[in-house]
Amino acid sequence: MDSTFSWILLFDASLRLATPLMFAALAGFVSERAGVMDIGLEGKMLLGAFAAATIASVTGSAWQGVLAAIVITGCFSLLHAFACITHKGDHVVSGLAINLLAVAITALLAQRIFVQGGMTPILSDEQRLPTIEFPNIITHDDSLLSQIYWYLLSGHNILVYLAFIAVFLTIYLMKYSTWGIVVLAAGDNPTALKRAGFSVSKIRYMAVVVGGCICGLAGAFLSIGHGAGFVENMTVGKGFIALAALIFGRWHPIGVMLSCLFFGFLEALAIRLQESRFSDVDSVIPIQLLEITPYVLTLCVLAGVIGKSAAPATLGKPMR
Amino acid sequence: MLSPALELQNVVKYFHDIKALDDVCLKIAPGSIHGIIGENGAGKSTLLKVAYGLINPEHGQVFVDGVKVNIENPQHAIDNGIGMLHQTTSWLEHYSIIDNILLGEYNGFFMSRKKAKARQELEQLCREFGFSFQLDMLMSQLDYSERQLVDILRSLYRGAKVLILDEPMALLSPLQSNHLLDLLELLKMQGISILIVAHKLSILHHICDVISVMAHGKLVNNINPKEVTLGYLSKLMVGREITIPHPNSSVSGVDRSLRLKVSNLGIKQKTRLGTSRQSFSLSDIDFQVNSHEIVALTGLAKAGHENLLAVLAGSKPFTHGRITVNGTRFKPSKQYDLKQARELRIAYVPDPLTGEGIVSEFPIFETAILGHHTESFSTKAVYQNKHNQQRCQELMRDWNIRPNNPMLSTGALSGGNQQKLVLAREFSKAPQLLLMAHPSNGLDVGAIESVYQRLFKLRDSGVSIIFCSNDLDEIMSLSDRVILFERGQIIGQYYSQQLSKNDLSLMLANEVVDA
Repeated sequence: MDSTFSWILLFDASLRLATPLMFAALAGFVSERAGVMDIGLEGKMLLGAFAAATIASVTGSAWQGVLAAIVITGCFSLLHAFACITHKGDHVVSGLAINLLAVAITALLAQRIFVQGGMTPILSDEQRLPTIEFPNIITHDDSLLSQIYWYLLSGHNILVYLAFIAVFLTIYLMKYSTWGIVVLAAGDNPTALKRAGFSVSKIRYMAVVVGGCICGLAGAFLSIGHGAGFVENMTVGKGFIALAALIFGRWHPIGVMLSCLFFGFLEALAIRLQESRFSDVDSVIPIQLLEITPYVLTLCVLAGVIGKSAAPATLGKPMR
Repeated sequence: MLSPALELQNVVKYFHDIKALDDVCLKIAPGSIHGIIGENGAGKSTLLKVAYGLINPEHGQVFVDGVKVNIENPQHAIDNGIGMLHQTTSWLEHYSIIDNILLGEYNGFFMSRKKAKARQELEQLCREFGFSFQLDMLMSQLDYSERQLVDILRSLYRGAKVLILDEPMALLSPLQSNHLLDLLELLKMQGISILIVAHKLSILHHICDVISVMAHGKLVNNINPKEVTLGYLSKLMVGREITIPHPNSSVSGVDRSLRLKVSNLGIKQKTRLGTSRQSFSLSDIDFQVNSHEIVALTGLAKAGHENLLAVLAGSKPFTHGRITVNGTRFKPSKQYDLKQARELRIAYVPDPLTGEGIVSEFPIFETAILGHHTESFSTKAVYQNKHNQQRCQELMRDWNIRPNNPMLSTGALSGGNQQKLVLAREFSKAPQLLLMAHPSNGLDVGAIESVYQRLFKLRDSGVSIIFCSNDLDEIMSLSDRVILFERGQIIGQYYSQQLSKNDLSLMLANEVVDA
């Protein structure tokens, strides 16, 4: 295999691996920008994955699965909002509770419903989300352009494209819509918002629930987009990496997108190195080093190595 | 007779068993300026917050133009034509003025459509009332008085018929506050009713049509200021006659010793990469302070006097020069900090509006020993809290801080009482050098008088006191010496007794002409 082509395949895999991170990080972005810390991304992603796989397997329709994922994660973020906003509870504790609950409840329900050791049945192609093939405007040949077009850009799951659309939509809304300003204000200066005549609680509620719904897409991608069924604890810390990407991206949609892509690339690289038969590269870079990189980088950002942290001013603080 | 522009009826509000408002009825005639005075904690701010929907009372009705309305949150108040100028402004710093004003005004999803029309209206209002700022300036570029004006502009834009002002003059320089008063007169002529709470009785006496007196959560009196003297007004409020300016006889024939010497002090600001020009936020500061002396630092906004005070207190680092306290010399290095200053028996009362002096979540008795936790520590941990609570209760009784309950959270106290608490804490540590930023901010005339008496007593016992203030009356009646600042430098030192209030205001005003 020539090396350009293997690089293209590597980037192709990065895109796939970055997609759930992007959805989850965007979900965290919306919620945290409004001032509500969202540590429960991991749990909500898992719930979304379970709901999507279950409904898709029962009804046979992937889109009903996506809808179920959105509804379930929306409900759980409503719970989070109820604890954090209405009752001014600790955001970390509530998020942690959701994470723990999610791991247990998904495994339990999967076992009760399907009796396959905590898994859902393997889904057929009709029960999964479709991939999108680009129109045939470039011929298949060995040129770089053609390879990029056919292997890197075309042929991904529909949610991969949706993730990018979601990022740019978020940027647009944050900048040019009323909601954008209001959500940013809810996190940065709720007092000003209150004086302007808004209900800060209402806005935070909406942001948290919208965030939860986006998180459902991350879960759906894992179980019925990229994968073909739900496996117990299948998120394996992706929610926390998304949280890391949110911090590494300094709470800005573009930054979040780039850090998700970077973390996705690291993951793809780690997998590739594990697979590679000629493992002379392996001896140079231990795989574990790649796997801890997201966390190390995030620590650096939090420690203020790369500029000042840009966290919303009242993140995690209830409105008095 | 016209129905009142705003009427509050039988308003009752409790805070933890304490009646903050007790059956208050208030009528504001259309197109009038209505003042409310009262001691700290009398319930003035609470009443205003009820009118703007920030606090929901247990009982009471609100009428606008004779129609009963339901005001549960600020949006209702705005819809009914009530606008408010808050004691501390709060804006989205990284947005332009126009975005801040339109925040909350948007009904639609996208803002661009309405913005052009709103801009025209706002520009019209700016011309009409003489606001000088550009609508596209960022909020973070504005100073405090301009932020207040933005607050007023927003209320006008939203069609406010009643404007509520909570201590608007507290932080303004005399010039700015005159400007604000002119503006209020102008608004009144436009038929807008104004409800104002302020501690400067002379100002209220001058501009108000009616003044209501509040005490202990009750409205006790409505008076026409044209018919009474200023002295009578203060007597109504605190129950005794107060002479303004406060008599200040400086001590003579005592042994003055050098307490503080500042030589060549400066703060170099961080320069951006690539610019070789150095900028100083303070430079060439040279002065001395002796014992038995009260020194005032003053200047216009950002003249540097507030920075200097923070440097002396050790809460801001300096980069050039020397500070000598009681013979100990300090170079610009990390060794001079708040802790060091405290060990040198320097007490510091920060600007009340920054909230640096208190932790509002702490119970009052904890706040009363902030920074001195280790001193009041005893090995009998069990008795520790009880001991501190008792001490705090005595302190609060002594300083007349209400409600007298050390277990309440500090944030539950009114602004004036919080300031009294900070003053009480610092006074009780028997300092040798007392530093205060805007000491009488938020205090009522009665409290000011008693603080001044305590300060004079401290001074007579040999303590040196340095304070910064923008209030000419305060400077004239409290200080022995005035140091004037401009753009980070000292431009003059004067003995207060050889100076009249007029001279001082002229000197400050001249800076404006120069700048």
